Amino acid sequence: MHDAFKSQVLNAASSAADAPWMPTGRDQASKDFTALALPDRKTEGWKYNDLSKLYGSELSLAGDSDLEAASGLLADLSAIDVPVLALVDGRFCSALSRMPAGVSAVAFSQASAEQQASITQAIGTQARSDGHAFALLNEALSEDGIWIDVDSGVNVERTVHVVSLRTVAGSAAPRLLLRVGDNASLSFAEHHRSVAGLAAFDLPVTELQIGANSSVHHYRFALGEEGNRHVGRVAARQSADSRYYAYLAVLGGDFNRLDFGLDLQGQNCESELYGLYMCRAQEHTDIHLAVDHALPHCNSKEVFRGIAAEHGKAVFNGRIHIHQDAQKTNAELSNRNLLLSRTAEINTKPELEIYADDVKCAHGATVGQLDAEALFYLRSRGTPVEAAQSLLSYGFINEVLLAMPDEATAGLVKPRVDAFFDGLQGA
Amino acid sequence: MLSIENLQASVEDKAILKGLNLSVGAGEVHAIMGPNGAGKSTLSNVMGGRPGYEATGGSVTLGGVDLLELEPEERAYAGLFLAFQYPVELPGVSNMEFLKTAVEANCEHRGIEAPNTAAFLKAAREACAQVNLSPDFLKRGVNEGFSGGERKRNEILQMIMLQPKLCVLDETDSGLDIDALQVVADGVNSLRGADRSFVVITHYQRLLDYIVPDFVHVLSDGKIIKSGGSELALELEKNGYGWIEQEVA
Ligand SMILES: Nc1ncnc2c1ncn2[C@@H]1O[C@H](COP(=O)(O)OP(=O)(O)O)[C@@H](O)[C@H]1O
Ligand SMILES: [Mg+2]
Repeated sequence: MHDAFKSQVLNAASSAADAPWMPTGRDQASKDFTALALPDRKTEGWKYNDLSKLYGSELSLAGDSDLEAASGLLADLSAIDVPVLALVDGRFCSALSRMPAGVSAVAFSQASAEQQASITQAIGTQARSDGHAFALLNEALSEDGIWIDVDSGVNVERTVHVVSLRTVAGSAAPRLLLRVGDNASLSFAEHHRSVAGLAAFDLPVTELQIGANSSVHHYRFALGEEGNRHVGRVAARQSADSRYYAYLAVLGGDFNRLDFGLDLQGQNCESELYGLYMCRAQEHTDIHLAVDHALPHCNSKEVFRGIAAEHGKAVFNGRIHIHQDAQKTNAELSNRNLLLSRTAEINTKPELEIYADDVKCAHGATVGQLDAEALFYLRSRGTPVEAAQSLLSYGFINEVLLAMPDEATAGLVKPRVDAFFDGLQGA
Repeated sequence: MLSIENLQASVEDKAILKGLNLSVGAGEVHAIMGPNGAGKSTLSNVMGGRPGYEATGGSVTLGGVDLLELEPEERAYAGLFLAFQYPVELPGVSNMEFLKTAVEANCEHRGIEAPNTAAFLKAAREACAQVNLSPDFLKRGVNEGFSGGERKRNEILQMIMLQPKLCVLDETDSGLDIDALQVVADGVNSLRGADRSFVVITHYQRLLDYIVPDFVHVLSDGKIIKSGGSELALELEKNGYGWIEQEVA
């Protein structure tokens, strides 16, 4: 199965060869990818994933896009009139984009020679280094990407939205590359969306470099549909005195895997990662988080909430690695999970690796059901049982939604959260 | 209004209520007093349909409706409200959302028009003022981080919003200082009326100085063993329960 998959990748990569300028060295990436041993169930970190869902079905690049469908997927963003950079089936679409002001943002395919040089310098510095198979696959298959470059001293206050839309079957491998200079700030959101019932395979990679004393808010909403598979990678790196806040949501889609890596490469950093994942029907979601504390005096906090209903299945793995030099680290990981049916399944595994002796590190992981006392309390006030379950479940994840400072952006995920509860098949 | 006949109930297969009779007319306030472990909370839990509290015999009817046959939410629609001894926290569920959902469901089932958002907000703020809670409490998670006294006041707030026919207050006064007690009593008194009745479960005569009952009952070992007027509460305060238990034995 692995060999068949690899030869499909090589074919797809060669068909992507005519695509506009790409900085990643497609040929090298496909060679490196095919030389890799692909993860399987015996590979650490992949044992809960049914990889036949990834390797078993056809892989070819998405063909011509349906722009009308793409425009339909942007209705809520159009309504709030925010800057949008749109990638449709992995390729930049200027007709659907509204370029942000006050920040350099450009598609790889439209980059000037000078911008190309910056992109080439920045790309792959984080995501490639760890031999992550699917990040390599992104490089082999990527047809376009977005480059956002915030100069030192610049504050981008309005959230910039990068939207990856899927309108036709096949694979797409969009790339998002961001560099924030020193003493700067940025709020950006990446959205992954698809039309319903599409056999779309998404392989997005985001790389983010945050300069000294800068602040970044990063929203990442993967709102999949039936038929979708999504294997994403985020690699973020912080310099000294920087602040990074990430808000992740994964809902829908047949198969979701997200590898999120954060590298604290400066002293005195602050990081807060909030995430929610919700699976129903036969959906599968796996979130792998890795936070590396390399230097002293950094604080990181991770708050993840998961819900599985019906036959949904979720995996959370949160690894906090505190290196020997990272004295006076303060790290706090909380992962709580809610099972709404007996057939749902959630596995959680916090992993703390601590090699420094003067650190504060707390973690808690739970998997449970709705509190019977709380349910009765609501019902005794006249709230019907289904509504009571929804209210409590919503309350369970609300902490993550409330953490998002940009309410308009948070509002883009809430309808999907509501829809999750509508018509759930009960216990 | 409320008629309880020969009610028997058990918790974890242990008989707790052993043939309890109580009849409450419209507009009346009844106090139930009794020693710890007598079954007072069990009575309110059985009336409310709390899981684990099973009625094994007898009947409870409210306005002619047999409560024991109903789901907990249907008992609310029939007009029952329980102010709990230990109200639980609902983390992440805002008080506002909680109240609005409940008010709307009750209106729908009682066949009255639900207030629009503006009217609801106004009523909720007024109710806050009445129980001396800042309107900020509407935005907070239900009972989340509330003190004991704030939880009890939040119960009265809900009672005001839901306009029940029968209010059962389970030791709402326990642990309250005199100011909070006054707030709770004022809330109850403001709701008193010809078509609303109260069952006030308490341990202390003190509350009954503020909410003057029409009748006082003594509950002991799962039965009402003595009933009287409000003067009975004073007697209990002075002499304890022992003399009645002996008198009955
Ligand atoms: N959830 C429960 N589980 C086990 N026993 C209970 C439970 N609730 C009440 N009981 C028992 O029922 C009896 C009556 O309790 P309760 O109704 O709480 O009394 P009161 O409110 O009058 O103090 C006590 O013996 C108590 O231990
Ligand atoms: Mg009690």
